[in-house]
Amino acid sequence: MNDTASATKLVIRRTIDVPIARVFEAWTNPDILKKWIGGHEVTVTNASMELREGGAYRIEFQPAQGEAVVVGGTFKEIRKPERLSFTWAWEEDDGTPVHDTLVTLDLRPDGNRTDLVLTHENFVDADSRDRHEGGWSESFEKLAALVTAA
Amino acid sequence: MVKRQPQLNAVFAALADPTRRRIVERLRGGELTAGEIAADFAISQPAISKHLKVLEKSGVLRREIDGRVHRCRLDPRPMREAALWIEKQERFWNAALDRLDDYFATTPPGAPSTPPHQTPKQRKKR
Repeated sequence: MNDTASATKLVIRRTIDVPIARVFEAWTNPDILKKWIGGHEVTVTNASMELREGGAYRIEFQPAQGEAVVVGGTFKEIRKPERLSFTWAWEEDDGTPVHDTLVTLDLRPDGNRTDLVLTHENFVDADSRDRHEGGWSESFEKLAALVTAA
Repeated sequence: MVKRQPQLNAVFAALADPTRRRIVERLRGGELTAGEIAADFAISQPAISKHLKVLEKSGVLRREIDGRVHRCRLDPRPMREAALWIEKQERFWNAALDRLDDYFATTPPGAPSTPPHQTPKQRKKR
């Protein structure tokens, strides 16, 4: 079941042209993080974090147009420099986190470069968590197929 | 845009189960009765009934009760929203990682993370 689950999450792979220590720092130093995180045309107005397992982080984005948005969560695992995992939830206007998801960053050194694997998966409720499926186990492609056919 | 996300939790949870995904796939062909769905699966009627309830609660499945016959069909909207949500996350991360590449390409190793001469105001304006 685990193979199926890992093959069916939102997974993004990249090779980055700098050593692993710099990549890890870019994710864990808020001053660096705010320079790059976010989509195009988005400015990070504030980024703060308490870098320890169980510690919280919060990032405020200002899109070129429209209202500011906030994402936040807590660190689940910090293993410098190869692994970082944290919950990820966009906040409602009143600050309530909704729709908890989990982001896991795996880094592997490749000479002076770094292989990065980012996994973004949905938490699921207790009803399916006890089934050993490891969270969000539907592939994006498959879901998209279901949706277009429905 | 973020207002309807609580329902997404239910949609993702509903679709996280393989049996429920197979029910959804069966229903892609059109409306079926609960009995017809149950006949396809080697599990008990109460178990199927529980799965249908989870799907119904998430909004993925609509049920009409016609006497003793329960007619089930898909409502594509919640799944479409879930797919859009994932697509949005994918775009977000790809854009962010592009910017991370740009950051490394323009910042030498060992450069201070907050250079004293550079403030956010000096960023390029478009």
